Amino acid sequence: MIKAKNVVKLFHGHGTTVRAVDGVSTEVDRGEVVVVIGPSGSGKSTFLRCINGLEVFSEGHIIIDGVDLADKKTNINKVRMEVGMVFQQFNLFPHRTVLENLTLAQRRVRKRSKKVAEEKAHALLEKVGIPEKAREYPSRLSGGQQQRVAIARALAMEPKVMLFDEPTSALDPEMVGEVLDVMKQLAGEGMTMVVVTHEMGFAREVADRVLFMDEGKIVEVGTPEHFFTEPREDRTKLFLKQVL
Amino acid sequence: MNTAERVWPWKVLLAFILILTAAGTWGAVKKIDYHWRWYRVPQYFFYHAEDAQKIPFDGTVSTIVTDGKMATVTLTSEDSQVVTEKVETESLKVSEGESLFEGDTVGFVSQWRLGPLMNGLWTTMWLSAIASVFALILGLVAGLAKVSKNYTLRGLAMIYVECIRGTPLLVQIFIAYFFLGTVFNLSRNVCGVGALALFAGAYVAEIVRAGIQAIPPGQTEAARSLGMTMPQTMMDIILPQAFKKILPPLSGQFISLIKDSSLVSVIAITDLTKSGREIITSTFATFEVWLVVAAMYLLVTSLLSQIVFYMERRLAVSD
Ligand SMILES: Nc1ncnc2c1ncn2[C@@H]1O[C@H](COP(=O)(O)OP(=O)(O)OP(=O)(O)O)[C@@H](O)[C@H]1O
Ligand SMILES: [Mg+2]
Repeated sequence: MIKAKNVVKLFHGHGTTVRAVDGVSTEVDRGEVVVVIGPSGSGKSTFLRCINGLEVFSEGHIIIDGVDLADKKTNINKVRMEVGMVFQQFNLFPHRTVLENLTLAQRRVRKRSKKVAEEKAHALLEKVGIPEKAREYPSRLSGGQQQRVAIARALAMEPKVMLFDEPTSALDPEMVGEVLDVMKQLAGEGMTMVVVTHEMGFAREVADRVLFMDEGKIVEVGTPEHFFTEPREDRTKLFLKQVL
Repeated sequence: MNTAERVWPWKVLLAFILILTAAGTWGAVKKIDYHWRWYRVPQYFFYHAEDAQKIPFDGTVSTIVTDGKMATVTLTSEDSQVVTEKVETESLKVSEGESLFEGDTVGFVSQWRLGPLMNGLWTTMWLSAIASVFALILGLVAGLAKVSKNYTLRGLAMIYVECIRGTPLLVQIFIAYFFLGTVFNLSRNVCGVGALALFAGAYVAEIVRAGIQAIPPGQTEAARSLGMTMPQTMMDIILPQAFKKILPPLSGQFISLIKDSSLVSVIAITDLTKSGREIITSTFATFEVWLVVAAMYLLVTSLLSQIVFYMERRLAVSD
């Protein structure tokens, strides 16, 4: 589904160059749930953003469903229709109602009729458990509700892959559960997911594979059991000691 | 809270200062022995005009039909051409059977007309309105160019904004009229509106740029991650939010435009200010006319402020 080959992302600052992603290679199969963990600044977000073209990587290849992002002829908007993304800060459109947040891209990008788009939107709001908020503006919703709307918004495009960048980090603790529940349900339905998170419980429960990143590199890969019972690298051990 | 109790002394002070200012001005005017002629002012808003109704050819009055206040005069020429004129019965100057010559007056029709102040106000308003529309378009384009990734577009927008903001509007109006107007054979109205639009557009561009940049990048990322193109993202996500943010500075800019439009009177466009000047040359009611003109500008600008106030309230529903 996703194939990353030697991905490098450089950020050029004032006379300095940051290797935010430094030669990452991995594969995510259809229906697989991959959790990415790692300390702050290790390049998790940057790698995730490369997958849907929000960052243009400097070297390497990312191939999604057979389409190479490094290929100049690739239409990135076509790829993005298939790759949904959920952000730490929700990024809902504050000037649009919840319903409009869910229908806008369906209509503009998928060219669906208003009726079809709204039916889809209502069904998804039902699924994430807030059907009654369709006519509200995002500012009236709690953080947890906003993030669930954001997930529904991404799902409305019927993506083949969902990327999550620390979806619960901006939430009050009591709201983390409701968002994770939606994600677990999604994983159960067979969605291909790449999730950057510090929620080790979530990783243990639903991840097929965990990637530990540090300084732009994948340091260790394994099942959740592997990470919780017998992590190999010292950096992994150190990190897990801090977060667990 | 006790702030309610504390406000009234300040209200009294405010009233006191206003009264003092008014009294001081009044006293000063008294000293120079100015002769106020307020009664002359109303006629420059509306006046009663008597228009002579003249006949287009020689002929004889065949009939006069009186219907209350108005009378219809029918005139027949020697070669049987017929024309009718409607005049006020009281002002009727001819009788049936009378022969008249081309250009003779049959009678008068009187009606209310807009005086120069109203005409000037109208000119100021349409001038400002058209200039505002173009300024908005221009400012939007230049503002978008300023945040564009393309170096050439950014450069062009920067040069435009800097040139306009670095020179006086009065000079720009002169250049528009005496230079561009002559070279491209443009009318004074086109030059006036054009200069105002170019001027305001540069400021609108800066407002638009700031508005767009005030929208968190996460908004663009969310829209793009859903597969929306950059133009779609701009139109549906960024600009609507930016518009809400920039409404207050934008309305301030358009209020400035209305006031700045008074400068076009230097290229002989008869706007409100020029009308005022013309009235003064014939009445010498200098103080009255300028005070009235100022009040009229104030009326228009505060009306605009009110409209914007209501728009802001309506846009606030999503907050
Ligand atoms: N737009 C940018 N410009 C310059 N440097 C950047 C940019 N984005 C990220 N970086 C740098 O790239 C490195 C990786 O950042 P990234 O945000 O991917 O880390 P992260 O693992 O997601 O961290 P966190 O857990 O804090 O979100 C950091 O050193 C960061 O400073
Ligand atoms: Mg991050």
